[in-house]
Amino acid sequence: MRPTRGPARDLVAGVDIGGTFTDICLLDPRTGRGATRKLLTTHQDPGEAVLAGLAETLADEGLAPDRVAIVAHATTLATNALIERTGARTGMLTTRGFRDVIEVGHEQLYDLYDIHLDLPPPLVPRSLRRPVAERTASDGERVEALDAESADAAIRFLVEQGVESIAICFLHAYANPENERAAARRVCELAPDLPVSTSSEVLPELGELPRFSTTVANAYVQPLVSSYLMGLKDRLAATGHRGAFTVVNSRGGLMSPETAARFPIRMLESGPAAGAHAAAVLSRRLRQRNLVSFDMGGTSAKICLVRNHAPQVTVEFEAARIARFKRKSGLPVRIPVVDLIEIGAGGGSIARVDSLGLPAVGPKSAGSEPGPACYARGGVEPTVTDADTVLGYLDPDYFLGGRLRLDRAAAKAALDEHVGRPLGMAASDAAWTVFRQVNEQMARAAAVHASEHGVDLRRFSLLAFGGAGPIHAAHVARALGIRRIVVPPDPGVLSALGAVLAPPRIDVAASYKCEIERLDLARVNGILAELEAQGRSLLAEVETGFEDGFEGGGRHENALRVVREVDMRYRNQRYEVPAPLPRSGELARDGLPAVEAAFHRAYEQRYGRTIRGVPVEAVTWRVSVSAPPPATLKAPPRAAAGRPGRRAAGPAGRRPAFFGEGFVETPFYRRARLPAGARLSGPAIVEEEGSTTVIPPGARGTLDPAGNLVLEL
Amino acid sequence: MTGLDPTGIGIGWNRLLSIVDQGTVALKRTAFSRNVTEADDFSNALFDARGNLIAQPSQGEVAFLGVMSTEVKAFLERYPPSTLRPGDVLLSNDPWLGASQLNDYTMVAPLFRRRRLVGFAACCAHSPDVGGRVLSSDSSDIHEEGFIIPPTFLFRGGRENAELMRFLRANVRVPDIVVGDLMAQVASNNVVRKGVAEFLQDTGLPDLEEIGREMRTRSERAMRTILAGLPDGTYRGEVEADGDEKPVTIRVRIDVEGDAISVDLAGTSPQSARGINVTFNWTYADVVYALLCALRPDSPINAGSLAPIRVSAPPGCILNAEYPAAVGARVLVAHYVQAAVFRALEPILPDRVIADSAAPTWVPVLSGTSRHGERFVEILIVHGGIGARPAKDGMVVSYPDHPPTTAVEIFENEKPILIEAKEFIPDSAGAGRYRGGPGQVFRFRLLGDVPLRVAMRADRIRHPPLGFAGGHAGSAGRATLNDREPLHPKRTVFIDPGDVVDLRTPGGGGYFDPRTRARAAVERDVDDGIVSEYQARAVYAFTPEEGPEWNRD
Repeated sequence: MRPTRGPARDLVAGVDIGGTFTDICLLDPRTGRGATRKLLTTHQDPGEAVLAGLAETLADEGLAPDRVAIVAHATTLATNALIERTGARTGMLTTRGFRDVIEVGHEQLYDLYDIHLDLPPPLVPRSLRRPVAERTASDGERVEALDAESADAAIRFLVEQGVESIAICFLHAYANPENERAAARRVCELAPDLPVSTSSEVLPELGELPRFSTTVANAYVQPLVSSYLMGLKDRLAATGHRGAFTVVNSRGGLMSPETAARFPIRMLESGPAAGAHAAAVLSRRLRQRNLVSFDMGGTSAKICLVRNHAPQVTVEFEAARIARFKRKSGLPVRIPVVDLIEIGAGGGSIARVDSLGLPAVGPKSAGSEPGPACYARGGVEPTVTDADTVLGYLDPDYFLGGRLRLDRAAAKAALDEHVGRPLGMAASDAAWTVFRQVNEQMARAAAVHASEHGVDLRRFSLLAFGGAGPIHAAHVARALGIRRIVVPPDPGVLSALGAVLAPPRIDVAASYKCEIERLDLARVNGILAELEAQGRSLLAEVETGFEDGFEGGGRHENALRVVREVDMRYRNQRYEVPAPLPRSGELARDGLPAVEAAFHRAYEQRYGRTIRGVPVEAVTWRVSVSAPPPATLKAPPRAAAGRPGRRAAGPAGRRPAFFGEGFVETPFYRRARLPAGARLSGPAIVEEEGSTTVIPPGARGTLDPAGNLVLEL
Repeated sequence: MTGLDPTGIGIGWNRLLSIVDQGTVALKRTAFSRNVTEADDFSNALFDARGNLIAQPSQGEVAFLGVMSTEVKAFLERYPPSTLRPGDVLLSNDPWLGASQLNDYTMVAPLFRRRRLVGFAACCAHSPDVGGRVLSSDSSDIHEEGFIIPPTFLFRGGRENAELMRFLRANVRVPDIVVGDLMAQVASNNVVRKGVAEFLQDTGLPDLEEIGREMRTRSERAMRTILAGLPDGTYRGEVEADGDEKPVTIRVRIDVEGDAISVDLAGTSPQSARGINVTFNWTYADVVYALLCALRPDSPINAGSLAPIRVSAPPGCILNAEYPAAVGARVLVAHYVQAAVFRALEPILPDRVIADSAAPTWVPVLSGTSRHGERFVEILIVHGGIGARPAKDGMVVSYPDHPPTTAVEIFENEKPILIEAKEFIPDSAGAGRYRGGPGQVFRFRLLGDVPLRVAMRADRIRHPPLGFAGGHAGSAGRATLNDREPLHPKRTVFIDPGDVVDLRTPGGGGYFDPRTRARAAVERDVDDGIVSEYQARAVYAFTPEEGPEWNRD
C-alpha cells in the first residue's frame, strides 16, 4: 500500500565512479523511462560529482530528489586506495612464528626472466605486524589459547605507533575463530575506537596467504571507505534524498552501506561488476544465454563471460598489480568477484615496432594526458585511437559529441613515423596493422580465458560497450568465430545501468574440508544454516526505499532466493570446482551421490573429462542470498528506440574509411536518429555521443525495437 | 599461402604463444600432485617438425624448457618421423635424454595435419614417484633411484599402452597420483594439438615451417644484436658448493666473440659417487637461463634465441655426469651454475647481474602417513633470500627455479605435522648498500604415532651466498633436529613423533659496501627486525647522531 502523503518514491538511480568519468543512470522502473549523464570524476571529493550528477539529471527531467527510491552506487574508491596506497595506517596481529605471510606472498618471480622486478610492498610493514602467542590446529583444536598478555603488549605497541585500523590474522581461524575473537575483544577493550577486521569474519576460508592478505586489505581500506559512504549517505539526505542508499559489490549485487563499511573489500571491482550484471540482464532480454561482454575503454579492455544469463564469477582475484597485466604481481584477494580479464589494450594504448621488427600494441598507454596524438595535446606516439582516426572510423568533428576535435594529420604523422616507416608501409596500412594487432591481442586473451573455463566461444554473442568497444567488436568477434554482436543503447554508461538493475545479494562462505564419504553431516548442516542466517541478516540491512518493498515481488521471505554450493575437487588436487547443492533443507547421506554427480558434471564441463576411482572431497561451502532487484528493465532506458519505421533514416554523411583494401566511401549515421528496425549493411558507421560502431563490409546491422544495434557477421 | 607479412607474423606468433599457455593451464588444472598443481614443477612447449623449439609458455619451470629444447630431437633420433602416426604419445624419464632426474617425465606428441607431421607438443613434469629410493642424494648409482623408461609409446595410434601403465602402477608408491599427472600431461598436449590444428585451419598455412622460421630468425637476430653489444673477450667465474662429502668447484669460462657466446665448464669437479650429479642437458638449461636473465632479450624465447649460445662441459665432470651416476639431488649442484655465470659476467654486465642467492632451493622430501592413513611423498619447499640487485634489495623468491612456497595451512591439513614457524631470520640478509633477501626459518614438529622419513636436500651450509662489489655474504643455512643434533643436509633420516626439525635457509648476498646504505633504509630494517641494532652499528656503521632513539643513549 502506498502512503497518501508526499510524492511517490518510484525512481532508481545508478551511479558509477570510474577513473575518468562519473556516470549517472536514472530509471523509472514502471515506465522504463530513463536518463543518463556523464561527468568528469572529482578526484578530490568523489561525492561531489555524484551529487552534482544526480541533481543535474533530476533537474533536466523536472523531478525532485525525493522521487528517488534508491541510489545504487558503484565506485573504484577501494580499488584505488589499494593501488595508490592511500589507505589507513594498519596494524596486524598474527600467530607467533608467521609474521611474514603477507610479505613473502607466493615467493615467486611473476616474470621468469626478470630478476630486477618489484614485488608489491605489503600493506602493513613488518614493524606493524606483531606476533602474539596463540595457536589453533588444522582441526580447529586450540593448541594454545590466546595469551592475553602478549596480545595486550602488541595492541599497545600498535596504538602507540598510531595505527588507524587493525587486522587480526591467526592460523586456522576459519576452523575455530575463538582466538581471533578473543584478540578482537582485547582491541575493543584497549582501543575501542579502532576498527578491527578478523580473518574469520572477512574470509573464513582455508589458506593463510589469501585469507591474511584479504583481511589486511579490508582493514587497510576500511576507515576511508566507511567515512566516504557514511558521509555520502548524509549528504544525499541533506540534498533532499529520502530514499535508500545501497552499494554494488564485486559480485554485481547490492549490499547495505553498513555492510560495505565493515567489509569494504567486497566493493572491489564494483563498477565492472555492475557492467557485467547489466550484460547478464541484457542477455535475458536478448534471449542470448551466452554472451561475451567486451568493454573497451581508454586504457584497457575487459572481457567477461556471461553464461546462462549470469556473469562468470571467481574467488581468485588480485588487487593493485605492480605489473598491471601480469598474474601474481598483485595482492591476493579472495572474494566472490565477477571473473573478468583485463587486457592492456584500449584507445590510448601505444603502438610501436618492437626489436623483432614486428608491430606491437600496448600495454603502455598514453592515458588522457598527453593522450593520443590526434588529441593534439602533446602526444606524439601513435595509439589505437589514432589508428581508428586514420582509418576513418572516428569522426574528427563528432568525438565525444564534438567536444574534442581530433587532429587526423597528427595521427597520421605519428603512425607514419613509428609504425609505417619502420615497416615500409603507408600510414593507412600502418593504421590497419595496428587495428588488426590490437584486435588479435584482445581475441587471444579472450580465447585463453575461455579455455580456462572450457568454453567454446563460437556459440556466444558479443556484447560491445565502452567508448572503443563497438569500433573493434566486429573484428574481435571474427577472430573468435563469433557471428553476432550487440551494441546496447548508451554503451558508454552501461555500468551505471547495471547498478540500477542490481539485485540485493550477499555471498558468504566457510571452509570445512573433508572427503565426501566421511562428511560429518551435522557439521555441514550447521555450517549451511549459519551461513544462510548470516546472509539473510546482511540482506535485511539492504533498504530499497520503496514504500511497498521491492518492486515486483515484495520483500517477504519467500521472495528471497537462496543458492547453495560447495567447492569440490578430486582428493589431492589444488583447484576446486563449485557444484550446486539442493536449494533448501538438510543435506542427508542419500543426497550426497547427487551432489557428487553434479561435481563430476561441472568438472567435465571445465576440463573435458572426469576421473574414476579417486575420492571426491568438499572444501568450501557457499551460500548466496538474493532478493528480486528493485528495478527491472521493461523498456530501453532511454527513448533511444526512436520512431518505428521500416527504412533507415538517411546517413548524416559519407567519408572514406579503410577496411584493408583501399579507402571506400562509407556512410555514417547518427544513432539517435535511426528508427527502430533500421537496417544497415556494411560498410557503415554509426555514431553517438560516447561511442562509435563500425559495421565492416559483409556485415549487417539492425536496430532492434529495444534500441540495441545488432550486427550479424 | 606464401609470404607472411609482419602483421601476419606478429598475429600468428601471439596465437602460438597463447596456444602453449592454454596447454600450461590444462596441465596445472588437471594434475594431482602438489609438485604440479602448487609447485609449478612442469613446463610445456611447441616444436616444429624437426624438433626446433618455436614457442614456450609465459610460466613454467625454465630448466625444463631448456632441456626440452634438445630433448625432442633426441626422441626423433629414436623415432624418426616415418615411424610416427596420429594419436601417438611418447614417454621417457631417461636423465641422459631429459631433465637429469628420473622423476621428470617428458611426454612428446607428434602433431599432424592431413597425415603430414607438422610439429610436436611436448611437456615435462615432476612426478612424485618413480620407485626406488625417494629423491635424495644417498644413492650411489642411478638404478637405486628408480626405473628408467627410455622413449616408449604411452599411446600408439590413440591406444593406451596398457602394459606400460601396469608396469608403472606396480612400481610406484602413489599410483593414482602418478598416473593422474601423466593423464594431465596427455591433456596438455591435446590442448596444444587442437590449438595448432585450428591455427593452421584458420590461417591456411600448410604447416608450421614458415611461421616457425620467421619466429626463430627474428629471435635469433634480437639475441645476436645484444651479444654484439658486449665487449669481446674471455670472462671467468668460479663458485664452490658444499658438495656431499667434499666441496665441489664449478668453473665457468665465457667467451664472447662477435654476436656469439660460448660457455665452457672445464675445471669443474669430477662427478660424485653420490646423487648430486647433473647430466649435461640440465647444465645446458641452467647456463642458458642465467644468460637469458642477464641479457634479457625482449623477444619470446625459442630455438633462435638459443642458436648463438654454445655450452660445453667435459664428460665425467659433475655437470656432465656419465652413466650410471646418481642424480637424485642434482639441483644441489646445478643451482650454483647461475652464480658462476653471473660472477663471470659481472665485469661486463654490472647492472644486470645480482649477488649470490640462497640457491639451491631447499627441497627436502618427506614421506610418511597422512592424517587419512595414506602414504604420502611430498617435497617441502623453503626459499631463502636472493642476492641484492645492483640498485635494489634482494627478495625472498625462488631462484633460479620457480616453485612457490609450501602453504602452511594446506600442509597441516593433510600431514600429521605442526609447523611452528615460517618467517624471516634477523641478520640473515647479506649486508650491503643493497642487502640480500633474508633467509627463513621453517620449523616443524611431527605429530601422530608414525615416524617420518626426511630425505634432506639442502646446501650452502658451509658456503653462504657471497656479496658483490663490497657487499657482505648472507648467512649460511642450518638444519637441526630437536635443536641439538645437526641434520646432515644430504642424508635421509627417520624422525619420531614429537621430534622438531628446524630448517634455516641462507640469506642472499649484499651489493656494495653496507656503510653506503641509505640511513633511512637501515633504520627501517631495524624497526622491521630484519637487522639487529648490533648489526646496524657494527656492519652498517649506523652512528648515534643520525640514529633513532635506540641508538642515541
